[in-house]
Amino acid sequence: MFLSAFEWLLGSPPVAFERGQIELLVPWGVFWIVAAAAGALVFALLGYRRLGRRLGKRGRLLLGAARFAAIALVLLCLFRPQLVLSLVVPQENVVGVLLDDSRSMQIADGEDGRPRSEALLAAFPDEAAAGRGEAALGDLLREKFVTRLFRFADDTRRIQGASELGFTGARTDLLGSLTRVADELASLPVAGIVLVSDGADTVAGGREDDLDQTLLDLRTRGIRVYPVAVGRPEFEADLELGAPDVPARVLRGSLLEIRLPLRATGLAGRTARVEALDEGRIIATENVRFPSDAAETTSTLLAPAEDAGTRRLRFRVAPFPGEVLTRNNEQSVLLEVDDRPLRLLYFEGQPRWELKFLRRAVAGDPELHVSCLIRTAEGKFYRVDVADAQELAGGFPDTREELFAYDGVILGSVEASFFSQGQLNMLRDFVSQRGGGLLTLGGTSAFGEGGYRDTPLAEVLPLTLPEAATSPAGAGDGAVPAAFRELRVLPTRAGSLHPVARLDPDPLANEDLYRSLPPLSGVNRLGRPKPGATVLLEGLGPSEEPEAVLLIQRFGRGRSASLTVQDLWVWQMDASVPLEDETHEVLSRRLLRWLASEAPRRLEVSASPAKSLVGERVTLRARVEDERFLAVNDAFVEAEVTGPDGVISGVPLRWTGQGDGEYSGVYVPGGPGTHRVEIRAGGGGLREGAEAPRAATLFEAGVVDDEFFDAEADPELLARIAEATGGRLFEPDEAEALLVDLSLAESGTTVVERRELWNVPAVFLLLFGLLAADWGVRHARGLP
Amino acid sequence: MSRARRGWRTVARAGAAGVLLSALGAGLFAAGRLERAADDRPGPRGLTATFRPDPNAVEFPLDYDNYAYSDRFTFARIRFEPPHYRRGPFYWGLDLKWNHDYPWGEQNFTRILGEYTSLTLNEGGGNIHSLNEAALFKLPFAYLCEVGYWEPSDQEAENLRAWLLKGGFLVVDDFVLDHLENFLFQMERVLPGYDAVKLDVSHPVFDSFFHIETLDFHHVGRPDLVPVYYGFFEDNDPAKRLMVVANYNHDIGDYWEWSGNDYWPVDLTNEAFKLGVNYVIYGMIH
Repeated sequence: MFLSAFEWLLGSPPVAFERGQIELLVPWGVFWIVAAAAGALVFALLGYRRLGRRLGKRGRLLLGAARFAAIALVLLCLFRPQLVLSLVVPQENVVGVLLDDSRSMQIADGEDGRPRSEALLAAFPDEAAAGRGEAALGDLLREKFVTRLFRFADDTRRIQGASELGFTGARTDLLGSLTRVADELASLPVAGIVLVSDGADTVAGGREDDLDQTLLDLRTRGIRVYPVAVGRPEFEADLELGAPDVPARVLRGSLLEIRLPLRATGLAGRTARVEALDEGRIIATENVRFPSDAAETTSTLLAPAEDAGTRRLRFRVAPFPGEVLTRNNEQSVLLEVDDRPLRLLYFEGQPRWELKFLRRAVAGDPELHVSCLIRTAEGKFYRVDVADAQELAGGFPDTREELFAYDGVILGSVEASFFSQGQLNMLRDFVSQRGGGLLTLGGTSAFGEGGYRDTPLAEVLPLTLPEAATSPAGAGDGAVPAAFRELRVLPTRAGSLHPVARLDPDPLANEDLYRSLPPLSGVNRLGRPKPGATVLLEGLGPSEEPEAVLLIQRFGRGRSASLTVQDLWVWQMDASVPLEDETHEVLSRRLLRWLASEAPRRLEVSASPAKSLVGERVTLRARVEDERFLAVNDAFVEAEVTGPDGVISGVPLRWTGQGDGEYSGVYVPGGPGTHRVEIRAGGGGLREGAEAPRAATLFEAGVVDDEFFDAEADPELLARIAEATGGRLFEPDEAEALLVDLSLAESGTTVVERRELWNVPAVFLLLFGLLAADWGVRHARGLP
Repeated sequence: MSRARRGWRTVARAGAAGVLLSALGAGLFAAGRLERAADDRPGPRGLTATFRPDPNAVEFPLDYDNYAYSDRFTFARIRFEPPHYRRGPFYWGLDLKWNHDYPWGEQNFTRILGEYTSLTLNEGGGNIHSLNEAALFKLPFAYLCEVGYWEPSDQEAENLRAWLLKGGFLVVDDFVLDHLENFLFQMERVLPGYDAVKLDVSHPVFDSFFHIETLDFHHVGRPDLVPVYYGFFEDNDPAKRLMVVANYNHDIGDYWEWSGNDYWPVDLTNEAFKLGVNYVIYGMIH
């Protein structure tokens, strides 16, 4: 409405004034124009001087201004103002038309439940349907331009008509497609590119730098992009499950922590029941309530990983009534459930109940193997649960090969001076370089009391050690050490959510469970948790401040945890704890599994993308280390990829040259399904005769369903593309406006057109208005 | 009262009780089997127990100081009320049975323990607790003697069962001859369905600190008796954790008690200490 009124008044649409230039067609110089204007002003003021007294100062000014404006307008018309435009020559210019062929175009969020593709097909009907009804964009373009049609999704291809579209593309690569089309049309006079899409890009997502660079490139080439937006930017009601955050590998029998992002639109106050399924069996559920109409939240599911092997976990939420898109209510992820036991070393400087009860707690866990070494007297050691007669026969390990064979180390009550400097450094490297887990327990000779304050291990601990705490913990009053205190242990907020300390999914029930347990005790003076540490359990003792009881943190490649109490075993043995109670067992196992489960192996492998298209390049990466966990760059590394049909293909992996021990190779899946990648490494720096390390991972081909996630139309992205390239965003029903915009191109083959402006209706109306105002005022005041 | 006479009376009592018990026991046993079959539990593994102080327990008031709970190992002696409580010629003018060798036994033993091992412990002796005290559950190592006279109530038997199954380690000492019958009978009440297994020197308990090469050393006052070491195992499985070790026809506590005098040969006293240290170290690891 506004636009057509504008065009009627001024003879051209606004975009013409934006792009064109206004020129005055007069032979005189600026001096004469200024002189004429000054003359008009003098004439206007003189004309009212005589009437000054009767008009008053304000009236005089008003009438003077109106007269001056009228004279100036007439003068301006005499100077013949013109709008100079550069217009494309019909049929001499090319318009690239990019049509979105991705699956998201199937989403039926249009009026009456029409899919997005319908709007596209209406704009670009087949030849047979042309000429019927309202002029379609495609027809209008063809009348004036040479059009080149392309379909795009994950790739870009030239097409003859929209009938070739199937809307089955698994991805939308907006930027890549624009660049490819711009390249293809580089040698032609291009008026612009029309991009018909929902804007739901699934490739560039978040790559701001790439976006800016591509748009700058298009602008430099002078190619304007005119996006035509289809689809709705927001669904009325929709629930979307994001990509589940699950480790690629998990130990059998572990409690698997799954973080599942949920995005809910228009579902305020509603509750979704999130289900996790393993081969059709529900293994975990959680109810999530959405507080607002645009809620983003994360559901944390804890599910047991019971069966070893490759598992496909599915997550689902039953569709809500009125949900347009239900395909995004499901997610799936592949998971390798490992049954190789974790190996841990528990070293105690003296016989302690903690060791006995921890041994008993893990005895029933086939995935945890804890070898124990106890110093029963000075220079005398007791080994238990060792794999063979050689293990730990020489006491605490003093070579990297021996220590780094473990995934985790537990240090009990043993003073730092027991270890050599080399062993202390090695323990630190065990965590930071090898990526193992270190658990330090409270006790008479632990932490500051054990003299760890100025050792390399102080760096690894998740808490600081106070200066004063260097005297032995035993130096107290009689039989009880000075720092001995009972602590009522409760989970922190972080602890209630952490798979180690979350014994009950309900935070309140979890806290009650801890409240029902007897107090524990500490004998060490401790500092503060380090900035990077997370406190999972805290204890309320005689001091006002709660103190950290269980803390965890990352250190380098590995993990560090401190259990600052000296008697977790009380939660098993105490008279108030029922015999059947499993708290001590569950907590101990979870803690040890968490500690060691992420310890990297000597050979690690990954495939990306984990969900690929058939025919897409999948990069296989491996990291190879020797027995001392030092990177090896000259090994022979080969991947065996077993496809869903059982066919095995060998892929050699080569050192990337970019990082020590990093190898990569490329595999292109030929068909859909789960592919298993097994990697073997040998030769080079890997010791001859030692067992060649092996590793495996999985990826899935042909199941990409990105198009149904984050699938709302994204006109903002389209508008950004338009703005950055000098084009404009249109709706499908603005075909004619788009055509005008395209016609005013600066690139391509153009011709200059001059449009007179003195004869446009706006000038006449303005002049008439000014004179009418002048006459009206004079008539009202009774003036001549 | 002489030892022989005491023995006779026990035999007589046991004989009288035997008739009753064989009938009652058979009935109980059958009932137990039926119950187990009904809820399909795998025998001894299905044992349950809940600690409760026995409301009917009458405990003779004693004046002694226990160590407060701390980070230290504390030797615990289990007290019980002997049936037909009677005065005797021993300490405090009372023969309480459970207190034989107290306090010198544990005083000497804990001193040796502190001397030889890296344990942090209370060296001046030990604590005394009855099976009705929750505090016993903070001390997973305990010593019980003269079990020939030990008749725990049902609740006390259940409390000991809970203590053992949770992780306690019990050393039973100082019982000879027909005391065994009472011990085994009471243990059947504590751990129904569990067997007393004869241990030989190959068991890890005899190699946990000192490497004991032979168990061939005799009772402190009765060289004619042949000591036998009985064990009760977790889940009644000899491959698993030893929960109870019983020195039958033996009295290592007596060796400990008199180690400061020259009553008993030094060699044998050393063996008694070695056994005790091994028991503690084993009990704290397994």
